Amino acid sequence: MIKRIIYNLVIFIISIFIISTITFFLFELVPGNIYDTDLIKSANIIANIKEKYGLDEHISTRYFLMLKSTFSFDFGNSFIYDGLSVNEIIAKYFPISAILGLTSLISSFIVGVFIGYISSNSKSIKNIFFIIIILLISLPTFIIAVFLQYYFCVKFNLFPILWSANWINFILPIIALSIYPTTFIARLLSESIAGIKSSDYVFAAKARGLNEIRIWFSYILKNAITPVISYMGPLTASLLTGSFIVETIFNIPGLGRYFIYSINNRDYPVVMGLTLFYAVILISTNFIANVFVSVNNYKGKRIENR
Amino acid sequence: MKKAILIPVIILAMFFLSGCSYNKQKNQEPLTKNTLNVSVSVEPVSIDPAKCLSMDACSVLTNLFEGLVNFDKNGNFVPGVATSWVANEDYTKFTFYLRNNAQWSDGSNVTAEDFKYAWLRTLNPETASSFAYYLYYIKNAESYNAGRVDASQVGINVIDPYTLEVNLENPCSYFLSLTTLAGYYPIKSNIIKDHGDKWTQDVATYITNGAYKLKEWQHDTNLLIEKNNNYWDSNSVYIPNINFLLMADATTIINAYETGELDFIEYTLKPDEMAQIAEIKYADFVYTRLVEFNLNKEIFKDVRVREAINIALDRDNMVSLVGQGNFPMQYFIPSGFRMPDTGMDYREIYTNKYFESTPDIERANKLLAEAGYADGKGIPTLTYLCNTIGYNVANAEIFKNQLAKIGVDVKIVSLDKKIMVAQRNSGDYDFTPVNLLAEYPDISVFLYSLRTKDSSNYAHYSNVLYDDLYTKIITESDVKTKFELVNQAENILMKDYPVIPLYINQMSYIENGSVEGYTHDTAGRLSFVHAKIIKD
Repeated sequence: MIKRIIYNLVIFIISIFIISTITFFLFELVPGNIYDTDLIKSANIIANIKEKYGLDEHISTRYFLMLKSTFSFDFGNSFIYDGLSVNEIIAKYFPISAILGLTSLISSFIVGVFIGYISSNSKSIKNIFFIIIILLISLPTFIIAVFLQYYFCVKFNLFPILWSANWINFILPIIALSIYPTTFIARLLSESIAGIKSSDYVFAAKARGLNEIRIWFSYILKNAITPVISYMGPLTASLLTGSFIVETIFNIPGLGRYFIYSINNRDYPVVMGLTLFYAVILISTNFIANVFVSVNNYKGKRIENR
Repeated sequence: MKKAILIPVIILAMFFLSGCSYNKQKNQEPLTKNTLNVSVSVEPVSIDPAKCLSMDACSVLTNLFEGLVNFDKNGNFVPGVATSWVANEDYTKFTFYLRNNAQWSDGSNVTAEDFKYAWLRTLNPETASSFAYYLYYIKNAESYNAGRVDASQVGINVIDPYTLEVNLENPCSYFLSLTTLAGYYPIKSNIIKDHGDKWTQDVATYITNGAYKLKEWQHDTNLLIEKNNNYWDSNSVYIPNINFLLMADATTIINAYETGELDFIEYTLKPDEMAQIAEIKYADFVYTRLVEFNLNKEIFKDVRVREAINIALDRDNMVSLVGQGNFPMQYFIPSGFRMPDTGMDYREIYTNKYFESTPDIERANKLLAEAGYADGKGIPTLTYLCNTIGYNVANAEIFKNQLAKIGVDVKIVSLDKKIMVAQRNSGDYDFTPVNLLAEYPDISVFLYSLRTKDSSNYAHYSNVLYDDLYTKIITESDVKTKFELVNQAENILMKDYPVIPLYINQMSYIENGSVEGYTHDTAGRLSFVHAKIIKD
């Protein structure tokens, strides 16, 4: 186990190094800079901006400075947002995105697993759910978000539109964010259950006269859930880091928006900081999902071997 | 089995029931209207006067700060922090006499030192302010900003705490207009020394001298300002709170207006979007939409080619396609600047139109033939470089289609805003669109960017006569003579055609009738300083 953790840690550090290097050089290649705007009308001012933000340094110097800030995780202040450091931006906006993301994650997991479970049990329910799932899965999130806002805020006047950091503001965004993962999990699980139900070891278990509930939980669900857990890794990362579209429509001050704005404005420290922050989350959640899957499989094997 | 289905149903039911209980609460509490909810801006990158360049953010600042002079409803100068001012004969020296009852929101006095401190800070190379450019009018300001001289040599002198003397680099008759801009607002001395760039982030350190002060700034959500009781003229400030809601999505803004959560919308919606929900109102503020030729290109050296392209355009059609609030432009200087005495607008005095708003294909073809490009033969494919923001791409498509009628083939290159600027700097384009607006409230602002070698002269236009006229215009104090000179400059432009005027966009806004008395100045800034809430 310790060996495994050390191995993963090394992989983690190498990944961060590679990601920061690639991001740095990709960003170098993108034309345009913070001072490329119609609003700046003097070469003096551009020179001052370059000097202030160290943009006039040689690329190798900037690369090493970037590596230094990567591994100390301190990217300094945003070029654009006055007096805000990258770490402050993350500390301020990540909690909102995280609450939203975690709640969506849990609700889509619970609802998705239930629907998957139910639809694998009955053919008629499966057919009905299948149609609904296909409908929902093909609807883009922004359509769902606009639809929810129009009907529940404007028509029925049940929710406020403006953000006030109240729990009431979270409900519609959570629904909008959960629909796709819920339907995806449901479909994944129901297909996986169908496959496992007809496998030899389930028949063998039934032949041995094992308790129906035990077969369900120890044999079928335990194995069928593996693809769902694998999917939870990247899903957690994408939900935690915030959705630009949902945040914009529901006017949520989350992290997702800052990522897009910083790229558009060439706000280099924010781009670097947020990319690495996202990378850390993605790598960690994938790692955790892998651990879950392997623990689950390990137990599965033990049962099979018995 | 049944239980399994019940749980998600219960969860969903809880969501909806909780929603209902919120609704009840909302209906029980009657709205007492002491806050005006306004959408004029997305999250401003800064509310530091030294760094405020976007018009929407300046609208917020105009309520928070007060400069030396203000505009009244008719665009005349009225006292701000300064009660009176004098200029010397050739407009190179301005002396301002400050009122001694002007106070900061913390109760301390606003003095001439605060102005000097603010201006020098903006000019300090370490501040790296983009606004510094608009202070270059002051003697040695540009040299100081470029790091060539030190601060003591900049022409800002504090004679006594309530007298400020400003020496200018070159004569400038409209310096007073400039002092209304955000970068000319005072900043309480030494506040930044103690708090650095963070001074705008904290209500306690963000001290203002205008009609309002900052109460709360929740990033990406709202910027709430409240009446500043220390403001010298606070008796004529009526609205207790103004809540600037920082929203980006058009649908959300529309929905919030429909539910009554927003009272006033400007900038953040396009006119067509506003028209869906309310009757559009128009401010006395315009920007002009033009396309500049790249005169460095061989094909455009011949004025006949430029004129042919200009008259081949169907502006009526263009305006009908672009949408509400736009008018065909048949001249270069838009309306919006008035004679202070008679109130006559420049365009009411000079009513001449330089070409038709409908195309004259026959004449355009004739001009092209004379230039040696009969039916457009021999003209290479011309590149139209624009960014992807707003109506730019739609405009480009219309432009392309209309020019196809005289055999001119246009290739549209639409790029991300930053990449587009980089591309434009490389000089590789034939056409590029520009929006001209009154960055400072003086009529000469529209003529500014076509001076030889100006950094925003994307046409690379150069005409000695024009440059001379411009110098005369900015040193002329008599408005009548000034308008006459402006008209001469306009005549030159409409003979040389370095640019193609397309249409005028009048600034549109909507409000739900709950407020009156707000003003838009000629630079487009929205002030609620003397506005009143008239209904709930």
